[in-house]
Amino acid sequence: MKQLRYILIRIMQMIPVMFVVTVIIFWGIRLIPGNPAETILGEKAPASAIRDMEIRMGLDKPVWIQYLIYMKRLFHLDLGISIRLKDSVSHLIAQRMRVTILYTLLCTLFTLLIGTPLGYIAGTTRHRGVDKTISSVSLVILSLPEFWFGILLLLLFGLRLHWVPIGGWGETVADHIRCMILPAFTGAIGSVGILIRNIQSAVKKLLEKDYVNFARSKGASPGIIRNRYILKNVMVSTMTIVAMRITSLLGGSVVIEFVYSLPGMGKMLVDAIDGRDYVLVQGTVLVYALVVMVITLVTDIVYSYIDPRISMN
Amino acid sequence: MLRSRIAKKIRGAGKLDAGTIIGLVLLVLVLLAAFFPRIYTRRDPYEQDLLNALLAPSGEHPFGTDQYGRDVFARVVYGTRVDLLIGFIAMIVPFLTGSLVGLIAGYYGGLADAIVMRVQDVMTAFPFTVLIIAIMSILGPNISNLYIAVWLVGWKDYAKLVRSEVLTEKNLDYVQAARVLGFSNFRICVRHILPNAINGAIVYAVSDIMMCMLVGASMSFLGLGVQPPIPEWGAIITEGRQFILTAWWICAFPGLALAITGTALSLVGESAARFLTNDGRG
Amino acid sequence: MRIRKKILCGILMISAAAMSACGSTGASEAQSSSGAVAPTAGQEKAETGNTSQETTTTEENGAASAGDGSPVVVKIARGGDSVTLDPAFAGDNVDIWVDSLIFEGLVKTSEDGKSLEPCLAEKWDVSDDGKTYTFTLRDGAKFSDGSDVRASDVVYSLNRALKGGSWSSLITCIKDVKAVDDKTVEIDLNNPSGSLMSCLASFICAIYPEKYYSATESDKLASAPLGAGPFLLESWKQDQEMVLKKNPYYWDAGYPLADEIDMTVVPDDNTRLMQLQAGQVDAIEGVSAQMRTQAQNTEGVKVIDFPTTHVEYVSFNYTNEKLNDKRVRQALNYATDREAINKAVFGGLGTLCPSVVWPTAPHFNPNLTSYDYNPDKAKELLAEAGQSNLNLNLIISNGDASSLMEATILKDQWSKVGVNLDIQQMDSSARRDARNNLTFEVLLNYFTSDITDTAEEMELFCIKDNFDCWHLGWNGPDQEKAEKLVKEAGATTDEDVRKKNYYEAQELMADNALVIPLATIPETIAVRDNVSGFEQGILGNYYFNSLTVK
Repeated sequence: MKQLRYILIRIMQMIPVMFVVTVIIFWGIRLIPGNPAETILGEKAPASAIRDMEIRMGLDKPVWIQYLIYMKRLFHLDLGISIRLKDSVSHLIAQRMRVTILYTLLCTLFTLLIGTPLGYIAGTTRHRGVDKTISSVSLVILSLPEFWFGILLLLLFGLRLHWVPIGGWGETVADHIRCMILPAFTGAIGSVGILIRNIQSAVKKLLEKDYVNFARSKGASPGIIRNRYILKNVMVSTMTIVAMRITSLLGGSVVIEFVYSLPGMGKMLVDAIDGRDYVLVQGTVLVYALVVMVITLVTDIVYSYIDPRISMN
Repeated sequence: MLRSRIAKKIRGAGKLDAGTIIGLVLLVLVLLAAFFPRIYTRRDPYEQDLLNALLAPSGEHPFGTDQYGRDVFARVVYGTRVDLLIGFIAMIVPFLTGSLVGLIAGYYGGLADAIVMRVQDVMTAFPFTVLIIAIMSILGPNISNLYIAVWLVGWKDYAKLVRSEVLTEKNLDYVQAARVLGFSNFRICVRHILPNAINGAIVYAVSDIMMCMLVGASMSFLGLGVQPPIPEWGAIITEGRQFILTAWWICAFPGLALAITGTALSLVGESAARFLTNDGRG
Repeated sequence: MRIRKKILCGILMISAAAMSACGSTGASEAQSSSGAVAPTAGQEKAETGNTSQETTTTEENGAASAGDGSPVVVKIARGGDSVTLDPAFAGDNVDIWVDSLIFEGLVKTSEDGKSLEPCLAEKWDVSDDGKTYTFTLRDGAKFSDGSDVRASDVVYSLNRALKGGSWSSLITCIKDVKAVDDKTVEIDLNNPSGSLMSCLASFICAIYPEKYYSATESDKLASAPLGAGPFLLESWKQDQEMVLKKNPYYWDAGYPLADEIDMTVVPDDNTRLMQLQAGQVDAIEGVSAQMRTQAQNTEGVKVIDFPTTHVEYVSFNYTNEKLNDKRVRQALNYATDREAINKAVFGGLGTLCPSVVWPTAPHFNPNLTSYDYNPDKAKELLAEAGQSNLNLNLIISNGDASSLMEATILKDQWSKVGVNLDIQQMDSSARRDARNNLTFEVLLNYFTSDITDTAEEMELFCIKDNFDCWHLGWNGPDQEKAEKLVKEAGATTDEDVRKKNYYEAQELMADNALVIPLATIPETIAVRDNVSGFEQGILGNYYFNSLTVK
């Protein structure tokens, strides 16, 4: 009951935030110089045609009236039709989201698969060389520019070895996954360093905690110590980082989508801003904001389960 | 008690391990390149020589030449200042403002806190890159607008970090004691809470320099960052992208420079973190 | 194909110039003008040619598809996607080129760009005064939904282009379009026009079905086109992939050879090239000079350069006080080493040209004052104009690698004459805004013609309210003079007058140093060795009728 109330309160809190997000994005995008009517009609369109188009799009009205119209539509869950892509915004988002979600999932998976064991080893090893090597390699990799790495991976695994397709998204689910391996790996490179260092320091701190020493002195096997005491506790701090990373990945990664020619959210949004596609930018940012808030809420709830000390208030 | 704390800190600092030393050496080399690029090279990073374009690394041009016949080594060296400046300014301004906001919000609570938290929620709700791109598009692409964009986006992380620390600190005995002694709020905040609450933010700030440099580089990728022909590492790499298969050196060396700077900052940052969090044992 | 080409080229081609000349010299005693006789006579032969060739290709085709049983699919990777496929509003070349696959007009430009071929109209007739054109539609010309191309469709399409289309300024000479009967269309002009035929051959005057276009929302028309071209749009996921299928009702039986064309969007140059190298796609577009060597060195890949009308140029804002002085603009011309730019940016593939008019244009003036690289003269002129320490801002589009290179080199070259250039990258919308409002100082630009005649370019650059003239901010007595010359040339079919006027107008533009023409550059593509028939005309239009993969 208490939990339900907490969730309800949190959801209530989202409403004003969402409202402010719509206001900012609505006015913000209109501050950028440029005109969406010209995007549709092309730059050679006669001025009269551009004016007609502006009237048809309702851009001739005062901004606050446009905003009211937009809000009215929003209440009917209508995100509108993209100006540039001429498709419904919800459909476009649904289409592009698939790519970005798969990317986010695989990327997170790779990050965890690479980062957790390495971080754990670096944290528990008594061998300083191993420890230092892992942490410095993760640092170097972290600072490599994504597209540089991306092109090198394509060159090796795509062109030389023919293991994966060179860019694209494919038709079937199997295709999608095959196409996504390199991009996800490239993306994971950027976040794995942070994860390794985080786990490493968390593990080190835990090993010095009394209850771990106590368990050890009582003869608990290293396996039990690892599984029951350390990993569970490390998960809490890892989750914060992973959740943060997931939210930023869901925004799309322009550079990776560009290099691997993936139809994801990032490039769509950048192109939408570029073409002053007001409707698409508004819709996408709004959906993104909602997703971020839900993820934050879910992480907070999960937290309280893993670590009962964090109360819900 | 105070004395022993300081002593412990000094002892901790005295125990420089290999990582810290390597980090410091690299950092000094990087800083030298930033302040005195002429130590490294006599060449002009802007001077074009179209007849000698795309030369592979050699004695004369240790990092080769780019598509305009400019010396890549000189461009990488002179780029150090540009990149460090981006990293530093884009870090320090959000750091100062964010920490201040976090301190006030955490200490006073109530309405101030509620407002800061909601603003933070709103900021978090926007995708990071999109927010920066949108701000840059509104303001127009150049380096000072890049700082403004990163500042508008970046302050909230510091505010969050400092606020949560302040929340724990302000209920501790020594703060209560200071209150009982009748110290002003300002004094309690600045003299007592801040030094303890800021550590996390400082540690974050050191790694944030690198993140800011990478943001600067990816803005160059989108044409929104430093405008050519200023030698910014990200811009050099972006421009060299079309030659990546034929003239690898244009992209590789600035990439390496980014990696070296990143490593130096992180190693030093790690030591700083140990020093500040005072566990002294790592 | 070879047979057809020979017959068509050899006998039937009526060049635009010849056409218009015929119209005007039609004062001969012959009842109908000689211009009308030629196509009729030619057409008969062409028809014979077509039938004979039809059988051969069908056989070939049948054999090919029976051979391996699978349809011929050609995969092409492009750098960017089209925005609209409504020819009336086509903006960029990415739109226009695809339009040339889906739509056809009454006539079409030959592959070499020098002459016109019959298309949906099989013959035409020009009245003696050059003000009435009568077209007879081809029997068997059908839209890709199977409906006949009727005269009423032509009337509708041309009126739609004329009233509210983006390109209406090019065909303002049209007074009225009438359907005489189901197969005959009459176009009445306000004045004789030397460029009408080449406009009718371009996407501007593409023919589409009235029934569908009048009943469909214009938003939908942008993504659901219907024409009579060799291909039809099967599906289009914007910014990803466009699938074109063979039009089963195409009038030129046996063509196109390919059953399907997949056009994918691969923005990154390196990725695109790697896809071709790996055989993932059959052809790629937008091969930069930098990628070109790389592509050439790949086994199984061949590089093709098509000549174009594409001229890269630097535009000055005439209304800017710093640039208002002719001497400053001339100085900047002298300060530019165009050969060096051509070598560094275009790998030496470009051709230097003295004006924005491409050198193979019918009325290209070869005797213009050209500003050869001369930094001393540049300094002199700047000093004379009192602008020895000039600061200028140069706008380029972001993400455009060759503009960036040009800009970087210009900055270096101009710095040698004491001009400081600040480069500013802008996204397309912001750049357009700066151009429309004339708030820029200098910007990098390019021109590609949409018709084979010089008229479009001359009118766009010299008539004040037109697109390019407006964006240069050109005004004053010279501009007025040029405008008068160009308008006069536009209202006649007398080749001598047209030539004289266009030459003079070009001279005025060159003398005023309105722009710095950098070079005219080819369009470079790369294909796998087993691809044949990838042809692009001088206007960039695709000629994919015989495109196929073995």
